Amino acid sequence: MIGRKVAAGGFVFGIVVVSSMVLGVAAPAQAVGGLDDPYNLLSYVLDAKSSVLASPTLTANSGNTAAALSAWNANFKKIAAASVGANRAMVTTGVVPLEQAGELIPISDYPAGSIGAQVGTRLPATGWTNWAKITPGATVALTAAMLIYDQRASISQIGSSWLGIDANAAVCSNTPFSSGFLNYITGQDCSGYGFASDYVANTGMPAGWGVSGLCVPGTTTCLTITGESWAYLASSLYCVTWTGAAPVSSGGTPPTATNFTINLSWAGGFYNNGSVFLKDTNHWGAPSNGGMYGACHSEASTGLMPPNTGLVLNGGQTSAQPPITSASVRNTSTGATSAAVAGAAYDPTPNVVTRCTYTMTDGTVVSKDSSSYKENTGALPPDCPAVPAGKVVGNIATSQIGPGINYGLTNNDTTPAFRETAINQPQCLISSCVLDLKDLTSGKSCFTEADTCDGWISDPNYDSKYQCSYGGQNQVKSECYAYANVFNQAKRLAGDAYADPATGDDPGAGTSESLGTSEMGSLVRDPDTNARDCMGGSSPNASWIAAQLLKPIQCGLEWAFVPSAAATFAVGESMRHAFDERAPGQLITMISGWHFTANMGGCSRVVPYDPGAVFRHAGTGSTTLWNVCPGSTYEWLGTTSKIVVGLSFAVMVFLSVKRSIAGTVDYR
Amino acid sequence: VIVLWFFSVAAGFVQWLASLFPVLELPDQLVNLDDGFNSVFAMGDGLGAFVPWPVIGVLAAVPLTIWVGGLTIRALRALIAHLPFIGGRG
Repeated sequence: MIGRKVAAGGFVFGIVVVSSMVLGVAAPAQAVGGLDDPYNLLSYVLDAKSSVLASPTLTANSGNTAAALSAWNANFKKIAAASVGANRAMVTTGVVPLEQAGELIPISDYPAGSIGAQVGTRLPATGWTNWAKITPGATVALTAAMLIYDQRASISQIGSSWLGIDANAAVCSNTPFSSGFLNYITGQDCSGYGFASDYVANTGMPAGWGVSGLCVPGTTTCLTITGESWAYLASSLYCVTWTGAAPVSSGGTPPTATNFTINLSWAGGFYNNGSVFLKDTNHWGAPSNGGMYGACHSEASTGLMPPNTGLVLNGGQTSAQPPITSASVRNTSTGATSAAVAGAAYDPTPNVVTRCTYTMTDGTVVSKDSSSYKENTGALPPDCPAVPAGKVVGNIATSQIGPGINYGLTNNDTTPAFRETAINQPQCLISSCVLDLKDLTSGKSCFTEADTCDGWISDPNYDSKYQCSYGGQNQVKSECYAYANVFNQAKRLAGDAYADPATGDDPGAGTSESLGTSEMGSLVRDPDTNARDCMGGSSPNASWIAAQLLKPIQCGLEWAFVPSAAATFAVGESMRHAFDERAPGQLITMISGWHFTANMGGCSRVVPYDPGAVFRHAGTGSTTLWNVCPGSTYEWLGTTSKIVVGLSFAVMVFLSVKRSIAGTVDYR
Repeated sequence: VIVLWFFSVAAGFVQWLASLFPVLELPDQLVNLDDGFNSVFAMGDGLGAFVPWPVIGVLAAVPLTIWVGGLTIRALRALIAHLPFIGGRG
């Protein structure tokens, strides 16, 4: 069991599968607001992604009702959660009979007797903190713990991908995969990838404006100014965002109060920025004429550092602002004013990027932008930057950036557990979080030395010759008990399984089953849950090859050629009922609904009518119309009638037949 | 999915075939035709004393059988007449 799950990481779909497992462990989607544990990173991702797709502030202006947005989010999370559920560890292991789970772990891929070959498979997990210990019979918990480790390995990919979501995107955004085999293998439910049916894309938003290449005369500072004149902003306000000057954090010199002022012009007027000025090296001052911050940038009061700093200008208007037509900048030191640069209206559905920013525990900040996308044509998950070597991510923030747009989507600190792993088990962050037994004599892993570690567990000089470690961190000897049989030639040749990881006891010989009898002989699909276990199979004694190679092939073949009972039934029903509403079906239904009952036997006829009652005006009764039954007075009448009628009919038939036959021989 | 695809094709064909027929809603008179027949026959309750129904049934089948038999013989003869190797002309 353990061996198979470890080796799953080596399978060609390993990354995807591991990511799926990440999804699996992270079942309970939670709202943003702090990561409670490592696997709630997924929740965070889901929230971020849904935020990106829904872009609450933008969509609030696009006609999407709150209910539609809410429905979108709910739908996304529901489907994501459903996808998660399908890949949960418990579901995956659910196809393993509990009584089999945790019994034996075969050293199945050891080429017995071949000196120099790698020995066994390193296990991915033992308890080194509070995770479940490997104990026979507790494999379900163990598997969950292992998947947590798998996930921890995936967390390392935080630097280059979006955890499970990246796999989701890789699968679901790729049409050939989205309904294909890879999707099937990974179990990703792609129906949640995209917009909900009731999602209304942003269209018809008021145009904003933008000015670029606006350089402060006599300086090297150039600005790109974008802004909005959206009616939803508080009246008489413009929201201006500018970029271009180097951030203070990068050693740039921020503009100061004496650097420049911005002049804006619009149809029917202009605004000379005489009352809004730079207060000090880091802050824009509050508009002295009573303007206000905050309508387009919530961080106005906490220090506005370029780039992308919001500034609210009082335009002196009392209604929705007209678009800015041009802007110029004046160097307040020299009095020189740049030429006015015409403003250009920007797309009502502007191109935006999603920016992912890591703040390391030592304060280092790295960020990366996703590819540009339009909100109404789809959304990209953030493309997060690589984590610098030796650093640990302390905070992950995402925001949507575009002309006049700077919306914070998420902002979460990583958990202490994640940081602890990143610091103490750095190997666990690069997908090689394995339990290892090291040969101190050679300095190599026993797994690369074949037979040299044989007998390690009973070696009296263990402390000086061997070291058990997990994820690069030393562990006590007992943590490596599972390897007791791996480095024991006799046990290997006998085909024994991994030892009991809790005690080191030998579970016995002959537990490795052949491929044909153990793994390939079992069904991929569990008839009860209808779930396929494409990566492990149902037998804990299956070999690595069976579990990692043949099983997926079998799974694929079954996927290709064995229709599910439900699907077959559905198709059959569709055929069976195809004619229901049509003429043939209706006719068949009609005819099959007819029930003829012709009972013309009997020898008497009694009707519920009493002629006497007509005159007496009282009573009910019945009248016998005739009675020719045996023993009755008129029995002879019936007998005679039958003879007469029968004979008459016989004569008629005789004449009819005679005529037919005579006609054929031309004799009458 | 491959086998299922063939199933789906077959199902699609059947559904297409069905779509060629009009959607029909039969009148109640036809749907309940058996009721009328049954009430007519119910009027004959007790006539068994006067009419030998089993005999009538057998006798009625005789000319029908002979007619069907003759028709079959003539149809076979017409077919055989077309077989070249026993004198037919194809």
